[in-house]
Amino acid sequence: MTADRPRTSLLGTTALLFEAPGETTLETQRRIWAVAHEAAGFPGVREAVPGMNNLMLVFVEPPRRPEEIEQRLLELWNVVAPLPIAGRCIDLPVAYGGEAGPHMADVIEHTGMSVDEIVERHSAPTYIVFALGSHPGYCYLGGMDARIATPRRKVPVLKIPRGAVSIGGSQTGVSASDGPSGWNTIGSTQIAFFDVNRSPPALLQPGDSIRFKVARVLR
Amino acid sequence: MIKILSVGALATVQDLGRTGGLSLGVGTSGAMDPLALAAGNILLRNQENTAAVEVPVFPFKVRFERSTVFAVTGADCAGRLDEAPVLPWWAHRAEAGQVLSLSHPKQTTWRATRAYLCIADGVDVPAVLGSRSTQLRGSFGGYEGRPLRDGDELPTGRSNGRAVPGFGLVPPGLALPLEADGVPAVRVLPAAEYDCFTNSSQDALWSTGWKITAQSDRYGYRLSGRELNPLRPLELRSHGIVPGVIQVPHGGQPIIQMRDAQPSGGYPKIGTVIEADLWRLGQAPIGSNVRFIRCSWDEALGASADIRRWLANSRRLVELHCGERGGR
Amino acid sequence: MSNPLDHVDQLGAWLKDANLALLELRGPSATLRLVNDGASVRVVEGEESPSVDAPSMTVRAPSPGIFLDRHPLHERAIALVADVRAGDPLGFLQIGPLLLAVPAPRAGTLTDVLVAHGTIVGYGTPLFVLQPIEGEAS
Repeated sequence: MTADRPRTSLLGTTALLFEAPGETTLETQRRIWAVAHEAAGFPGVREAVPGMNNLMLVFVEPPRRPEEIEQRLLELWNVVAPLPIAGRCIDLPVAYGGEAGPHMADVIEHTGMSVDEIVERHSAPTYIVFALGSHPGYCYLGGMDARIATPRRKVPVLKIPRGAVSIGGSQTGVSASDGPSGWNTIGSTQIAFFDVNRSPPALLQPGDSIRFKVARVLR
Repeated sequence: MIKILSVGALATVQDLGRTGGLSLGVGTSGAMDPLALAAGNILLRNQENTAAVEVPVFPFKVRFERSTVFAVTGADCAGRLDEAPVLPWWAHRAEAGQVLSLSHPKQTTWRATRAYLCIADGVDVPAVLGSRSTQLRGSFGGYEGRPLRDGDELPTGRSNGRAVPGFGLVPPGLALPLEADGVPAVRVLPAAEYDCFTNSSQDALWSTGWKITAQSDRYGYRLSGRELNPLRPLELRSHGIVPGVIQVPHGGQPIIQMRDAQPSGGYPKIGTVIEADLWRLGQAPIGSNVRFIRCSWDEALGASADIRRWLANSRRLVELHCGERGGR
Repeated sequence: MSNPLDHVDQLGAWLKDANLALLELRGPSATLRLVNDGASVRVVEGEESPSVDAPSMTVRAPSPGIFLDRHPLHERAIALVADVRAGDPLGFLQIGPLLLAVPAPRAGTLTDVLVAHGTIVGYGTPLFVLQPIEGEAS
């Protein structure tokens, strides 16, 4: 959902959500990174967590007047210079469709495209890591072709395996560990995105990028 | 050290949770009833964040391999230390070799489902990314990053002799009850997409009961009740979320994010259970009903203050009592 | 050796203090019933038994607080005529969120509760009557 102007809302007494206006773009995300960098230092803020063209600020304690923080964020948004991050790029071989992508049929049905068209469009872009979230090491990627966008599932699936490549709305990503998800799995790959014994524990950071290489297409 | 002799599904080591890892995709985890955990630690004169064992399924049996002081808070599980009855929310001495058994909770004056075995100086597993809580999705933290199994041997901190057995605390569930029309309730602040739902959906949120279905766990509580419908279909961009957020997937049946919830999501949010009431949900049994009470920001702050006051008062009285008894 | 009837005067005084109408005391083989009509306390039933072998004892409040005849999470009080071991809690005293036990000073039979559940009591307030079991001293 997009709006003309930035929006803020409360996540209970725990956090505050800031949502940038407009279509999801890398330029907007660079402003989000810049605001996150500044807002992490606001008094009373425990953590600034970038999402997809949005930002969550987690409170140390619920502030007496959250609207003061909201106002400060909106002012910052108007003046901040985008923070360009040029990271590294990794290639991931993907098996598309079949057992590797049990929800490919749903994407075919929604988009009206063939498996080959979907695979071609999904593997064409270089995806920028916009943010980490969902589960340890998971990367939210920007740059998916809007023509293969498919709504999240009506009922989330209780267990999607590590390495699952999936589409949720206009986004795509790769599961970093087994777990529940509401996204449509279209393929699978193998990589360790997170290792608690590594420093930093997450393989990729915002600004890094991923290219999906077609290993095979199962029908 | 304590040895797990018999354990059901999903007993885990938990403290008050992991902060600061959300930007890596690491959720908070932590006790489903943080108030019971903190109270158990206050009883034993531990730091409030000391790790304990969260027990959601019974029977549960553990052997103390050396003498210590312990407390079982949360649900009253008719505990036995060898044959002797164990009072709930009470500091007890255990000698080396004694076996603590907990059975299925009795729903008496306070309805609760999860018990916390708190031990003087805590379950001494390594802190990972700043916490001893089990991160089930990431398979780290707690005891080997997984639920406990029969035969596991959990290290415990070396008791510094501060804990004094022989007294207890009155469970805060009795002192801070919250109901709507006789149904246990939690307070909710409307969330970003509240206005995107139909009027009848908004009414249903506040005025009808929500059943906690069997598909509910530490990740989230899937509720069943009246269908909640947005005015038009909503697809959101993924954003940070926190425990307590009430998401409404396309099916119209809400899901409350709980302690193991992922730290981001994209389903529409109709409201958020305030942090100060999450412990109530953490103790709500599967199959029971819960009601949502709309609250203002100031009321939510008041609820947080009530919790802080209860904890501070308990800490003060426990220290006073133990001080009189010659404790340090 | 003594029997409950030796303590009728004392029991009567408690009864008046506590403003209770009836006190029934039962041991393993003796029953004593005192009635307080406001003006005086009289024994309406007393049965002596040669097997009563120890004096009943009063268990007093170890601290001020709200007297509870059961744990707040329990639905039933400890039953009268129940045998208790030394150290077992007979009842509780609540001070804010703090809960203290009123332990049995020695093994015996709980024969009476002198204060109603929820009453605010002071230090030393008589709370229970316990008939010790001979040979099972703590």
